[in-house]
Amino acid sequence: MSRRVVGWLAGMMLALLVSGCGDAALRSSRYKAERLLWLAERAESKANLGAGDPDSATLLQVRQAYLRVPREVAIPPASAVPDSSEKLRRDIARTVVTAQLQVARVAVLAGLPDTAIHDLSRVAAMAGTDTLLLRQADFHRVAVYRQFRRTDEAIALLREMMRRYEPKPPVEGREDAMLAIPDGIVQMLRQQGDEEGARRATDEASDYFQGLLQRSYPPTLEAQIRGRLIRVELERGDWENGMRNLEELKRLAESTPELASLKPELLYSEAKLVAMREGNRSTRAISMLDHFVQDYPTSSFAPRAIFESGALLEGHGRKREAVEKYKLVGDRYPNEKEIAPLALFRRAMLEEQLGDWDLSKNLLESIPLRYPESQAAIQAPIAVARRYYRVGNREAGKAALKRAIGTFEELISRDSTATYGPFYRWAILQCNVTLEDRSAALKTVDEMAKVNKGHPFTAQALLEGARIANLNKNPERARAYLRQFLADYPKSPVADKVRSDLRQLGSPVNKS
Amino acid sequence: MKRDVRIARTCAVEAVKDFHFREYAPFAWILGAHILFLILALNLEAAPAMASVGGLCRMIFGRESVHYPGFYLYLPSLAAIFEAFLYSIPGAVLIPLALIRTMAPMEPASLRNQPVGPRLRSAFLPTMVVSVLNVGLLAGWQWVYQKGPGPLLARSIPGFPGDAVGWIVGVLGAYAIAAIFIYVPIVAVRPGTGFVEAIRDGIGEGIRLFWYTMTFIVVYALPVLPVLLIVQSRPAFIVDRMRPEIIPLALIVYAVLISAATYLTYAASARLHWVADRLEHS
Repeated sequence: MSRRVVGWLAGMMLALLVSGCGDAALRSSRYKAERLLWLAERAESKANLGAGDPDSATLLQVRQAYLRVPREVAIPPASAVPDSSEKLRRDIARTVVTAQLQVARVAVLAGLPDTAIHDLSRVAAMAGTDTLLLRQADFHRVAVYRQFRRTDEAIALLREMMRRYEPKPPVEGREDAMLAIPDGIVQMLRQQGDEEGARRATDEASDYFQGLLQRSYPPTLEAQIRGRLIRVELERGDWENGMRNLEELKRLAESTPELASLKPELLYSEAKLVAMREGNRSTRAISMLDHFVQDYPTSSFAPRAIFESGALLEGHGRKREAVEKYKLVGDRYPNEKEIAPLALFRRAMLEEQLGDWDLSKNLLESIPLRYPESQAAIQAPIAVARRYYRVGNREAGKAALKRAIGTFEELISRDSTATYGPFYRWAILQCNVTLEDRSAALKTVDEMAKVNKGHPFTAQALLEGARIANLNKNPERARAYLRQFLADYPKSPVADKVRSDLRQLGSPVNKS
Repeated sequence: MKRDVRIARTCAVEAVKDFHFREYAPFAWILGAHILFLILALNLEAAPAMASVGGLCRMIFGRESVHYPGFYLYLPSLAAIFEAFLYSIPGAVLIPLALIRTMAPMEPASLRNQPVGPRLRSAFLPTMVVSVLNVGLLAGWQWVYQKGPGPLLARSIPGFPGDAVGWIVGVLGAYAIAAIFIYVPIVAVRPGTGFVEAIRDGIGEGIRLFWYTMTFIVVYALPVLPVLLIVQSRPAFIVDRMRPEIIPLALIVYAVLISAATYLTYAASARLHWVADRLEHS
């Protein structure tokens, strides 16, 4: 009897011990991956707690800590795992890939972009067929390229991603990041000052969205694709297709209750299309935009709608009413970084036209302070100087240009993203040229060649530098600028002209 | 009264001075299992540990409980459940065995020479029943205490001291419940004692000698309390700000100390019971 009891107890203990043994190895692997990742995160927090930013040696130690995860935990192949344990396998893969992404991120912090790119390329092998992880790795690669201003590579990768990954339906209303890629490319090219490239990218975006619409998607995703396409068509001024897609989207929204939230965007797009069709004569578009703002004051399109209404009023010559609209944008949506600075600039321009130069000047001078990272911040100081030149007050114009240079230098020191640096420097160069201060202009060219290498404005700056050096009777310096131009922009459409200029200056040209 | 206090103190001192490993050995078996459990908890990266301790944790607290470092937040409760199991089920055999060995020098030769098996068999059921009852009452006490007096007490003093006072009162309540049942196995190992007699006499003795027994428990448990206080009242702090592995290491220290304290409490209580028995008969 006692033997039976002992046997029964032993059996129970064994059953308890091996319960869940089937996936225990996978669970323990996941646990190990989580532990190593936690230790690495802790090592990074400790490194960040010290005085100042961690040095590159410390960062490489942190990178090693993250590297332990992929080195010590192997992702089991999908074929080796039963379906019931697939979630566990995916958990392991995601933890390991997260660690590998952190490895790359720390490499970026340590200033090693190529190492980071190599780290990210390893993710592809780890992620297998998990598209979500692959996409995540690619978005990280784009971020790395952008951080190190390798814009061409970033754009090439984004285009590759558009070919490689299908967009996914929204989760809790959030749009898939894939759909934002075409607009992202356009913005990147605009930031580069490449308007022609941006225009071509807008055409590509239109083709991309139209291509997507050839396939069948859930209504929520289809609506987002159409919404994006309408925005692209608005930008291209393609009224016919814009209106056609708007009607399609309206039909879709009517038949799908989840799309009720699209109504504000539909109304705004319709007003914009009407304005586009009827041009500056359109009073119907103004009325539609005003009604839209009245009905949806909290919509993300509201500030844009007021601005558009102001622009249409300006076209009608109703300057006072337009000023009121621009003022409304600033009062209601002062934190709208895209629209608010534009509205302030337009308002300042109109105030000057309405005869209040003091107010106009004050508004223009406030733009770089309130919205330093905007195109309006670059245009405003120069607009003040131009006005003085226009009224024949050259001395005041020169003083304004000198103040503008000071403002741009201040903005460069505050430029947190370094995105606007080339624009500010280019503006300084323009001011120096107008002031006929050649040595300061050449100093700015040198700085751009060093700090903003590869940027389209730097290409123009190098050519401007060569011109000024020639005026200074300094052919050696002019040759240096032109050689630098050919080295940095070999595919430029003016490359042949530059080679010929170099020959004229008596310099041998390497055609390769 | 003075004499009784002196006798109790002598019993407590004697239990420490007269330590024999042979008497403690059954507690060492429980301690071994307890430490093995905590070592496995410390090594969930190994598949056998994940299959056993991890499996138990998932069974009780759900599948999300076996992630790192969240697992260590569940570990104090998981270890407490395992400890309750060890002292209730294997303990229902091992504690009476330790008591038979501890009380042997105090017993007449006729009793001492009786076979151990039948004594263990008759002691098993009452010991297990009161252990399970003890665990049940303890859980009930914790539930009632957490619902009202505990948080009230903790809030009356701000910060960690408030939490500590609230925790100490909760622990004293739990020890008071244990003190009432401690004599049941001591009575049950006496040859010829039936189930009802063991429960009735044991609980009666527990009530009669309550304050002395309570003193034994608290005095022997004093080294345990700081460890338990930190692990039970601040697990999230240890996991977030320190190293999560501190929790199983502290629980190992706790397991060693509580094993010694439990043995000494039983040894001192057995001596006190023997003296009380002699005094009653004389």
